[in-house]
Amino acid sequence: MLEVKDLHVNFQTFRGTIEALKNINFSIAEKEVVGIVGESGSGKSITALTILGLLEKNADIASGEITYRGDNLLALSKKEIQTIRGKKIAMVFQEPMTALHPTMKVGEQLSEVIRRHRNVSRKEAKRLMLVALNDVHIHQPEYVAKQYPFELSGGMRQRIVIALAMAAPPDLLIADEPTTALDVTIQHEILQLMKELNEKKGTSILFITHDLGVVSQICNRTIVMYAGEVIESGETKDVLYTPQHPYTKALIEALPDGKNANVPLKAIQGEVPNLMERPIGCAFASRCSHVMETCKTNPPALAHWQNQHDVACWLERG
Amino acid sequence: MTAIIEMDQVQKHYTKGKLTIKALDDTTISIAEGDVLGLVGESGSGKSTFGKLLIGLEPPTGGEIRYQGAPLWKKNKYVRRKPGELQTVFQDPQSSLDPRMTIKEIIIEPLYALSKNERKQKESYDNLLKLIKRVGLKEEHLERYPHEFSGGQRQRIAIARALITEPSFIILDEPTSALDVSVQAQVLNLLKELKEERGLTYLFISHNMSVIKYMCSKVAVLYKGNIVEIGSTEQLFNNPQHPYTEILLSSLPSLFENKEKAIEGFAETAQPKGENSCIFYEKCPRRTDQCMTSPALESRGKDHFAVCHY
Repeated sequence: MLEVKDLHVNFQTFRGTIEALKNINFSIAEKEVVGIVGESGSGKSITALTILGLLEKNADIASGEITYRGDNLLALSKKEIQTIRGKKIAMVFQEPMTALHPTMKVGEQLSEVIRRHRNVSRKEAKRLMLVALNDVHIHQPEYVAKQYPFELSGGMRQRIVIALAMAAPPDLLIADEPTTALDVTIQHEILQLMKELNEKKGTSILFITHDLGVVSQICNRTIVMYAGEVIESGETKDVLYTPQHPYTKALIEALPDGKNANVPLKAIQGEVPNLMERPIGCAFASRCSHVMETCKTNPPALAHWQNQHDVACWLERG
Repeated sequence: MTAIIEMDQVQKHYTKGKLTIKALDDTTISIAEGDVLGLVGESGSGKSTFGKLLIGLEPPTGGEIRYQGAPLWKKNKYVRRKPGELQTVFQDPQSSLDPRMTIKEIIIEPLYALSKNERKQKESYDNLLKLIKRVGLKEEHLERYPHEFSGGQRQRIAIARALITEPSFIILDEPTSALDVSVQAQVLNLLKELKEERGLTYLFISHNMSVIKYMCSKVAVLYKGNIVEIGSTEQLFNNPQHPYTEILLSSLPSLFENKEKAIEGFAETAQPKGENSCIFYEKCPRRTDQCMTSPALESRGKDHFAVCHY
């Protein structure tokens, strides 16, 4: 349904050019939930913003293609992309307070979006609005519709944001860290809700997160990004339980989950490289415990390993 | 083991007009020397209020807090027996470091609370250098400013600042929740090593149950300003007694646990009928009519207590 091909994105800044995304390739099929995991600065959010055409002015899409049902999104005009954004591809952001209009009742916000995307009367929009609130498990939709965002809890606000995103309803929902600002118990409820929307309405989801646990809960496929590149991708169970890239392995090792408290955690030494001076070879070489001579000069490309499991590492190819 | 912090029926109520918000309600707890007490709970459960009372940012409205046997608060005045004994590392190192101070100035600032003699001794360049090397920073970093550092390095600076006065008790308020996983592991390891080397006692506030399990020897679960369960880490994780603890444990998405058992979530909100009902009544999946009367903190095994009728 959505295919990203050879995408390169640079940012021009006063200090120089930042290569934010380098050679990104992936696709999302109908009804699929795909997770992108990575640490801050890995380019996961930039990928989402590029798909929606929401990059800042200093961004330069150097090359690549994003095709959505045959249309190249990067070649569309601003007007044309507006017919897709929100209607076909919608987005849920991390912080639900800033995503909502603070001085407008949530019901009005939702009705407005419904009227914009579906050609219906005010009365019908109001009915659909209540149905939409019910779909995201808000128990007293009539009451909540008359409230302002500040009167609602974080979990309720995120439900409203999801209801807004689902209003059209879209084919693809892009969720950028939708549960990071929430308590774990509420996070669990929101994840259940998104899973349900995926199963009932067949909406595909691109789920962006730094939390490997969240990925294991809801994603069919997982893409791991590091320093603006995809370094591993495959079915979630393969990527998380038989990781092949040293970075993915190290990331899982570094989690405190289920580790013996008497043994120090295996931290990844060093820091993410500065993307203004991207290393010539593999971006992970300076932190990798299996680094070889070739890694320092030749960047490995993402290559097929087995069972649709792709890895970008020289080690796995002997 | 002697208790370093004792809280006896401590209350913190905020009042605004007729409205009273019970941020902490009759909390009784003690932290033994050398312990790492984990404090978990959702936002608004009183975790941070707990920390604020200890370091003197807010006075309690009832009860007594003792530090090494002596009361910390006399009326609304915070009594320091020795400045710099209790220190804090905050969650967000982006906002907890003054952007216009150099790293050196930031780290030695807490010493201005100490007596002149003590300050001279701890301020010495050798001492400073030893400390920053211990937390994983370099000498050349001293003259730089916070914006030149990454999140993990800033948190190391905040740790050095807390350690310069040689405290015996440190409050860690979500010290790694703003950090990436790979950096979080570095900081957790550092905190563990420092505790052993310096014989520190920690109060570790977090909402991440797997971090708590890894770091703490004892855990207290807060819900709406009340401790609903407290016990050793092992007991609390293997044999949780309060339904809220169970929900908390099962909602954490983890790579390493299979979730074949259906997860129990919050129940639909129900209004309790009396004023004395259990604080968890509204959302408890296992509420019954008995829960209309508030349960007491009862023993559930060695050093393990829970507030529940069942």
